[in-house]
Amino acid sequence: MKIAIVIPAYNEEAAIGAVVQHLQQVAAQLSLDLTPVVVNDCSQDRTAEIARTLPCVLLDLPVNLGIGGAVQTGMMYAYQQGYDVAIQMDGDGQHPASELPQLLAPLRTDAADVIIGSRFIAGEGFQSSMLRRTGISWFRHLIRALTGTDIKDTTSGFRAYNRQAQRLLCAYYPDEYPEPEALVYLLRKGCRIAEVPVQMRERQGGVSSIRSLKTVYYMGKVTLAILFTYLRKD
Amino acid sequence: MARIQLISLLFSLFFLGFIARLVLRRRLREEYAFVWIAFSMAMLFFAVWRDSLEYLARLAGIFYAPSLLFLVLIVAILALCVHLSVAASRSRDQVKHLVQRMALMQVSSGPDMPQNKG
Repeated sequence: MKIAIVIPAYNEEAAIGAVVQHLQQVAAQLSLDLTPVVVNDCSQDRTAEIARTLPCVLLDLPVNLGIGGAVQTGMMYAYQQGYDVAIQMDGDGQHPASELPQLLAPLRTDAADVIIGSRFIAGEGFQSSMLRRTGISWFRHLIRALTGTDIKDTTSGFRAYNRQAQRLLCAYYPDEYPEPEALVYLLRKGCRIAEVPVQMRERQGGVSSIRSLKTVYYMGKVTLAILFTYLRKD
Repeated sequence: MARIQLISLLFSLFFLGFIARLVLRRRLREEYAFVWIAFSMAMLFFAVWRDSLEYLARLAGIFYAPSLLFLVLIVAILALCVHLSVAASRSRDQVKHLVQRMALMQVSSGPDMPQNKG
């Protein structure tokens, strides 16, 4: 199984080196065919320069696209290059590479098309702030009401996609706060989604791009987007 | 229900439907649709509850209630125009940057000219 690890990075000079190196170690330990694909989203710091010295593929975006555009670029690369699995991982160290086997297991048996690494099944490790959890809970109930599928960690960026899912993401992936909406899109297009428990860490460096003040606006925006995506017939 | 209320109600519903159709066909991005949807909802609200318009107008010190509607609409359009101008400016900058990048990637040097570095 050829595996691409898509790592969107915006101003992650502090953590990116450790993330890629940790991936290398895990790949060696578990004999996995892993290729880290760092997508530099036009960072203002030294993320790109550092990435060039690391054992990874670097997609250097000339213009900042945001998390949606960056991840989609990585998916396009993985799909075009024939990778069997594309796994999205954050560039800040929140998603430990040691949890990769959890994500890969259901894909080996073709049990699902999309695997989500969920913080909230086992309830261990870093559980995120109260505000964020309220938002995540809202989307969980909204998605369940619309699609019948119960996904506990709707905003997790720690996901694995097989080729069918990659192809769909190449066609459409929301630009802002894409995670919950993408789930509705994939479900509407017939993907099977499974969740596995993983433990996440707190950010290892840099600053989060989501602040509590924007949360209400974000929830309204994404809810609206989810409704449109659900209704779309194309 | 007064005639103008009925007209406003129908127009609001039609407008909402029109915007929704554009978004569903991917002709309009949700982020830009947001303002129009909010506006349609506000119009719908005032069309149905005319009294709320009177109440808010008095609160704002406006004598002729429908003027409040015009005021709100004008402010919303102004805000939208500024937002669009900002978005257009950003797009223009990005396109320029991309065009330049592409040209620099495809440099062809004529005879006796210094060869570019890959």
